[in-house]
Amino acid sequence: MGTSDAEPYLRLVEHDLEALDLITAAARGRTPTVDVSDWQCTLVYYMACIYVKAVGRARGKDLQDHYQLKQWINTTTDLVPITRPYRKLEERSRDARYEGRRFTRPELIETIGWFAQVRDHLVGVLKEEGVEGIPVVDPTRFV
Amino acid sequence: MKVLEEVPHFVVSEGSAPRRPPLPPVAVRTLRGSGRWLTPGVHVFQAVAGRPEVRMVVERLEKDRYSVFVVLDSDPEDLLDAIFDAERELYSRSGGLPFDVRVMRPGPAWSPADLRTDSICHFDRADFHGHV
Repeated sequence: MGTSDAEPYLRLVEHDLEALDLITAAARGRTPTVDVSDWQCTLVYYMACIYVKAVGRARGKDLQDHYQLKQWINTTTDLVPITRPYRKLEERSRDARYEGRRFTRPELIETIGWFAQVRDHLVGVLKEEGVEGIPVVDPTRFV
Repeated sequence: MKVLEEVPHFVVSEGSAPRRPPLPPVAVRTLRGSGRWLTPGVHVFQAVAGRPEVRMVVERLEKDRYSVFVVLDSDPEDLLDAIFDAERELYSRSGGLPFDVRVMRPGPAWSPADLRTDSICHFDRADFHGHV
């Protein structure tokens, strides 16, 4: 595994953004509009998750589940800065999927702020690893 | 780390099923520098003690890990930071012990009875205020 192995995950981040675009447009096109904030938050979380997977791949680490991933970011010095925003995203996504929680506009803005913290830090890490073609996806247009 | 005391392992009874071998508790160092054995749930509870937004803190020994549930009425950022900082401390000091911390804001259909069954309760606000 190496920097080129990160590439499929970076394309997956872009794919998740496209899916976010599609469900948002579909929900807004309905009358009355449909609240899909639960799946918006979930997709935003998964984009963060896939960025972490890409870093793992670039470093030769295959993260197989969420437990491994959490342990890794909490114990790897240069990834510790993302632990707070990453876990906030994850728990919000779990509330959405398991508790049926929907989110207000301020909460969505807060969620995207956490995502931006994770994304910006990991894009920097990926660049340091020599990975090229890193997408800096921006979900702000969905709120 | 020097171990000064040890609390008993959790043992989960499953009727006639054989008992699972217990997982070891987590060793953490307190702020004062003394060593103690704590479970993940105790450690997380200490991080949120006294916060009015906290409804329950319970802990279960699952098949392969400890599961800690922190149930909140609201999730202000400083409270979440305190919980996830405590979690990070556990990761760095637990020696690979598997655990999961779930911080939840339950929906209207949720019942606290789900967590009151087969769990060790570290904090339940209803015990203090008589309501959930």
